[in-house]
Amino acid sequence: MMKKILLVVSALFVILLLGYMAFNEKQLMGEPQNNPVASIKEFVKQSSSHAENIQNKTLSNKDVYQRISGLTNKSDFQQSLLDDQATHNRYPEHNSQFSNPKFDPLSKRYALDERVSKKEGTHETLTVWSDKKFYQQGDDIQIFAQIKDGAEQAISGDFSAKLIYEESQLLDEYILTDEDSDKISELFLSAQNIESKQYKSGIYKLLIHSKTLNISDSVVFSISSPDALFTGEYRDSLNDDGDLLVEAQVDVAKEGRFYFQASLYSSPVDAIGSSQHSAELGTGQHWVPLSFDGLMIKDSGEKGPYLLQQISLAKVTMPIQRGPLLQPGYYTQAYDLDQLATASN
Amino acid sequence: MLRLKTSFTSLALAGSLLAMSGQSVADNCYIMVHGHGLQGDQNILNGEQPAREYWRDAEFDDYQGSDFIEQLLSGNDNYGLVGYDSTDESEYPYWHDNTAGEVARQIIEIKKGNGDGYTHDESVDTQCAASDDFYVVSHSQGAAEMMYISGNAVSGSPYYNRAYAQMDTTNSNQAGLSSSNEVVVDFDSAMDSIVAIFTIGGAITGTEGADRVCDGNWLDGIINAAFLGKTCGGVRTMQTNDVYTVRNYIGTTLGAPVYTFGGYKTFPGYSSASSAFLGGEDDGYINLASQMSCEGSATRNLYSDLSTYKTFFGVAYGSPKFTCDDDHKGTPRTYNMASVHTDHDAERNGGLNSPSYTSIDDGRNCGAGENVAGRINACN
Repeated sequence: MMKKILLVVSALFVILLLGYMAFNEKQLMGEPQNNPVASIKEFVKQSSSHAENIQNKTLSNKDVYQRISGLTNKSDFQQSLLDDQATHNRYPEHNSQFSNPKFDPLSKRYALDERVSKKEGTHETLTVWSDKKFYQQGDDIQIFAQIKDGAEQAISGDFSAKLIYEESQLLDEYILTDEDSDKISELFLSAQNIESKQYKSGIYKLLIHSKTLNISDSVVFSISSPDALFTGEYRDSLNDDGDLLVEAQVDVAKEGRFYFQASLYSSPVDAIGSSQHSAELGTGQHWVPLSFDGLMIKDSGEKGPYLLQQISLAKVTMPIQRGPLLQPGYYTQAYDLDQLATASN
Repeated sequence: MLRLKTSFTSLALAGSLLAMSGQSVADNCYIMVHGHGLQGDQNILNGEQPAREYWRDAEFDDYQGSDFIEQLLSGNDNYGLVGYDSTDESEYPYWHDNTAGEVARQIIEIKKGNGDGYTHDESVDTQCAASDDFYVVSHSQGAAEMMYISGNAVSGSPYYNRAYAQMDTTNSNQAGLSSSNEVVVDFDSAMDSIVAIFTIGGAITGTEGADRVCDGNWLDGIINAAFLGKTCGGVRTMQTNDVYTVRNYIGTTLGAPVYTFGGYKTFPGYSSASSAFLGGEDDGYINLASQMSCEGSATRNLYSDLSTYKTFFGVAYGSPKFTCDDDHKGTPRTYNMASVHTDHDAERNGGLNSPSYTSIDDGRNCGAGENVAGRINACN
C-alpha cells in the first residue's frame, strides 16, 4: 500500500514539474516568429516597439558564472570565462592593468605598421613601413621600402610609388631612393611640400611597387587635424573613493567629441595601468579627467609619486583623427598606498 | 536532420535535480553573425532566408549538405540569426549604422526573447528566450563587426554607442570628418549579458584579399567572386593596413570577451590559389594573424614570425608553430580558442567534420578533434 502511494505521489510530482517547466519555458520564450516580414529592419522596428512595453532589460547573466563556478569538471573555455570575469570585474572598465611596458595599450596603438609581402612561390620579400601611422598637419613624412632575397639578405632594388587620397584620388607619383646605400629606399615628403599641395585630413595610401621583384604593397597613414592640443598643464588628486585622478588641460579649437588615453607608471620601466575617457568638448580650455583605480595602483605595490608615462588624444570622427603620442614626464604627488582604495568602485 | 530537443526521461531527471539543487538552468542561445557579401538585411530573398543559408551554403562541392548550426546545437540549445547588408554593392564599412548598428539592434531584440524574425526549421522551438545564456558566433567580417561593437560598448571608449552613416557613397565612402553623421546605437545594451563572442576566420585585422582588390593586382578571380567584391569600395575597411583595422577604432577593453578560432587550410582544389596571395598560414582567404587578432601587422612575415617550418632543400614542410598567445593580441580581452585545419568556406558551413589542428599557446583544448561548431558545443 505504502509503495503504491509513493508511486502515485512520485508520478504526480514529475507531471507537475514537467507542466511547470513547459509553462515557464513558453512564457519566457514567447511565440516563435512565424510570419517573417520582408525586411529584417522592419522586424526589429516592430519587435522593438512591442518589446519596450514588456521588458526593457535582458535578465542578468550572473547566474551563468555561478553555475560554471559550481561545476566539478570545467572545460578550458569555462575556466577561462571565470578568469576573464575576475580580471574584468576587478577594476572599473575605463582602466586596464598591465605591469610590463611592452603591453602598454598606447604603445601598441601607435606601434609602426611594418608590412612584409612574399613573392609568389619564393621566399623573396618586400617590406614597407613609415616612420609613423598617424601624422598631423605640419609633420614631415618618411616612407621606407626594402627587399630581401630568398636567404633573407637585403638587396638593392628599384621602387616606384603612387600617393592616393582616400582610395580614390591619385595625388602624385614618386621614385624611392637609397642615398646612403643601406639597401633601404626612402621617400621623404616635407611638411612644406604637403602644405603647398594642400593635402587634406584623411587617409593616404602610398602604393609601392618593387620593379626588382615585381610585387607591390602599400603603406597607409592618416593626416589629422584633431582640433585640440594638450597645453602641458597637469594636476592630480585623490578623490573621495581613493582613486587617483590625473587631469590634463586641453585647448580645443573646434568643438567635437574627443577620446583620451593615458598610462600610469611608477617609474619609466614600472607600469601600473591605463585609463581612457571620451567626451564632447566645446571650444576653449578644459581639464580632462583620467581616473586610475586605487585598487589597481595598490595591486602594483608601488607607492607614489606616479608617472604619467604616455598620453594621447583624438578627435572622434570617421576616420579617427589622432594627435601625437606624448610622454609628458609628469609626476604626481607622493601618495602612500594606504591612501588608495582597497576595493574597486 | 531534425533535432529531438529533450526526452521525457532526461526532463524528469533534470527536474528532479533542479528540485534538489534549487537552482535554475538556462539554455544556451547562440547569436549568429554572418560575414561579407550577404544581402542579410532581407529576411527572405528568392525564397530563402539569407542569414540562415549562410551557415549551410557551400562554395565548394566537398561541403555541400553540411550545416554549421545543426552541428552547433545540442540539448536545449537555441539560436538567433542576425542579418545585415554586407554586400559589395552597398559598400558599408564595419562601423556603419547598417552593419554594426544593425547587428547591435538585432542582438538586443534577440536577447529580449522576441525571436529573431526568421523561421527556424528545427522540429522544436529553437528561438532564444530572455533567460538564456547568450553567446555570439561570428564569421569573417562578422568578427570585425563584433570587435567594433564590443570595443565601443564600454563607457570611455572612442565610439561609445556610436555608428556612422555614410556621407558620400560615390566618392569618399567615408562618414566624413564631422559628427553630423553619428548614429546613436546602444552597443552597451547589446553586449550586456553576452557571455562570450566566438570569432571564426575573423577578418579582425583585415584580409590581404581586400588589399589585392584595392591595390589593383587581384589574381584569384574565383575566390574573389566567392567571398569578396571586385571593387575597392566594398572592402576598403577590410584591408590589412592598421589605419583601417577595427583595433584602431575601439577602446582599451571590450564589452564581452572574444575567443578566436583560426583556420589554416587551403580551399579544396585551389591549393595554389590561396598561397598565391597570402604570406603565410591562412584559411585560403584570411591570414591566421588576422583571424587570431595577433598584435603587429596581419601581413608581417608569418614565415619566420608566426610559423616555424622545417625545410628540406629549401622546401617548407611540417606543421606551423603558433606563437600568438593571449598576451600578444592586437585587441584587448581576446583569447585563443584553437587553430584548426579548415578553410574559410568550411568554417561557416561545418563542411569538415574532424579536422586536424595544431597546438597553440593558450589554446582552449575542449572539443579537440572536432570542427569549430563541435568545439563550441563541447566547450560549453
